Amino acid sequence: MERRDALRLIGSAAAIPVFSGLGAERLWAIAESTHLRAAGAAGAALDAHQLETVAAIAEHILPRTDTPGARDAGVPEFVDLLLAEWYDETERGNFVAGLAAIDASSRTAGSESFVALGAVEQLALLEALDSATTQPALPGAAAAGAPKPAPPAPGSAEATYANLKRLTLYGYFTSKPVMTTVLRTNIWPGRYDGCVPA
Amino acid sequence: MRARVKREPYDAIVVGSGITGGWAAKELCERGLRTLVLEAGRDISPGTDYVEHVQPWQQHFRGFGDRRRLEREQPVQKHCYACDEWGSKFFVNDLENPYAVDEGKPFQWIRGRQVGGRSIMWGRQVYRWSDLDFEANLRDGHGVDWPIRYADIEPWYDYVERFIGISGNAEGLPQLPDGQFLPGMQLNCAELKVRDALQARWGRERVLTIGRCAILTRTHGGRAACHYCGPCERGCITGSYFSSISSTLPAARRTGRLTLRPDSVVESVLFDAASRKARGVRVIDAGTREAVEFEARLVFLCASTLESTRILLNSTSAEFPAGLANSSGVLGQYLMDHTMGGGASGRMDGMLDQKPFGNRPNGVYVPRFRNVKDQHPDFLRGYAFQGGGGRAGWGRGGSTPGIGAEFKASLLEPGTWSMGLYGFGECLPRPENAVSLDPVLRDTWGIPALRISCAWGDNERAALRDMSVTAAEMLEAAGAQDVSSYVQDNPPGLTIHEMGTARMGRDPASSVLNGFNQAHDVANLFVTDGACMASSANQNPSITYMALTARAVDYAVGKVNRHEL
Repeated sequence: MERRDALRLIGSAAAIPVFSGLGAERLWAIAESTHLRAAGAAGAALDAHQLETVAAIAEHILPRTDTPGARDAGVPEFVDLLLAEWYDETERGNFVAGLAAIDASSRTAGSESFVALGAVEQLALLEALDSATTQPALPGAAAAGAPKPAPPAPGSAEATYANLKRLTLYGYFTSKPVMTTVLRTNIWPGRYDGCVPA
Repeated sequence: MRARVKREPYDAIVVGSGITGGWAAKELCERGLRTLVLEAGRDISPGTDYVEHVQPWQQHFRGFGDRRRLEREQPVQKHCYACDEWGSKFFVNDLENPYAVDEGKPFQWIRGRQVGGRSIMWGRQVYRWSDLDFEANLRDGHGVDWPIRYADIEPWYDYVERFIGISGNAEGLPQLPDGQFLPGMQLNCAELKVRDALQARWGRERVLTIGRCAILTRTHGGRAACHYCGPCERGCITGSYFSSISSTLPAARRTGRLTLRPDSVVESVLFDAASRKARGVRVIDAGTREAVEFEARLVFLCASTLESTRILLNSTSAEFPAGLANSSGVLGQYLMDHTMGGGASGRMDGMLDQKPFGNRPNGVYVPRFRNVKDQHPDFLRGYAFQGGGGRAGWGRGGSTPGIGAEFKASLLEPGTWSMGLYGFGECLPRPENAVSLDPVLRDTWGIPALRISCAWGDNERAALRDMSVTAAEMLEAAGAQDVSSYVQDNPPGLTIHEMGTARMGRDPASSVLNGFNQAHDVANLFVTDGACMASSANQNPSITYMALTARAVDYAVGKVNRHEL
């Protein structure tokens, strides 16, 4: 069975009656072990479930369209690399705690984890996190000296989401496929023009 | 330890191969002197060391840099924007090159030790001084009077600018003399709008012009024009910006009189008591740790502001127990750097049908307008702005609401225009801002390390505050929206315009060098890097160092030829 098929089964309505008699803790344990079996290899910092969670969120932020998506651009691997070799232990712990918090939010939405949610529910959860963390600046707010909203607490679902969104954007737009086939970065423009038609 | 004495017949020794060392080498060699250039760091091979075309995806951390290594080995250097995953190799290892600071007085000493020195990753901005600057100390009594005026250095500005190639636009401003310019780079839409708004509101008092920079806008002296890839600080395989590697060292080499010795850490200048002249220098070989002495008739210290002063402080003798050429006692004092980071930025609505093409490695410049005619009530001297405009790229996505296909597509289009102005301010010369040799700390080669004691004063802080106000009012005059102003708290050193500590002056009792960068006490010893500066002005200083170096060599070689040295 393909990884995504397994995840879809776990998240599907058909699976719910089978599990409905079990307590939340037991369900969680089953889900985790299923993921570990079904999902791909663990990363250097993230286990297979965490890596798949990162990949699923990143793909929602930058999905495959007529251009590559976050998975195609290797965003999950980039995030895992930074977590393993760039972040310190506290930062890494906070990031992973935030992933667990996202899973916890998914359980209140009736699923055992984020990746087990249906695509529509996943998107709804992420959009809520997105609007909680990237409020557009009110016009004139800076000039009026309005206080900036407090950043989300480290280890929260909001903090990890906001962090992951930035990492996703960075990992995506600096990847080889995106730089060479989408942005078509020109390393030898040969001239500078201050104003050309956009 | 006894040193091996090299008896090669050198006429001149130049310590350092960067911006000023390269110029000293070129001028000495072209005037017929067999010249030894001693460089503390390794040799550089542009073909393999320059990385300006390496893309983020070709880097392990995609440009984030190896944070753990940087924090371990370059905890000071990493504060410079150019000390990143590409360019950190051009900055020193802080563990090998320690220095001490006084409690509560951070100083970030950013250093490059390699052939080319910091000319590889310098900011490339070039602004002449005027008599407003050369007369400043005399006018307000801070520091000693400069022994030179603009007329003394003007032909030498012309000379060095013609050789290295400077692009920019003439503006006819008395406080910022025009130079020998190749065509200036273009302003973009947002910058044109701000330029016109300043012109309308302030006339010729506040002027926005394209940055004057040592980047070629057309082929010059056998070097190719800029191809606008962007990150000059990572090197330039076409040699389109000035570095000693692309410009002066090849000219010196062409004479056949240059010997360049990398991995040669100069420990001290050797003083001959009988002749009261510098005999040569003592070098620690960076590889073998062997001490070697080199002798010559002229010694030029071009090791960078604080390294040249450190060498002098470490060159003690019975005649000069407090450091060579230090009969005045001011060696090490009057350290300056430019302040930076009072400024503002804002959004420029409209012009969405226009965008820039190419990566212009240069910004705009708003020359000094404070204390040019009238005296500001809060501070002496002046400041200038660098900055620029542009359209937002995909990086805006992190603070833009949205996810999904539409969000992704929107980030592939350029965002709104914005414009920023960032101030650089003059620092008054003060005796308490000083360096000395630390009694305990030594570098990897056993040479005493510096203790640096430096802090901004009230005058610098007042000017920084004013920058944030005037930057915002200029952007608002141009119709910018959501203008936010700021005052950063950057420590001295980080602007990397450190200067002073072996200042020029008219009186040997209060200065180290005379008006030709010649030590008052030691006739064949010259210091032509930033150490010589008696005040800081607010202009980026490198072109002034270059002009002073060429002028000093002309003077020194004239003396040698007349058998006066």
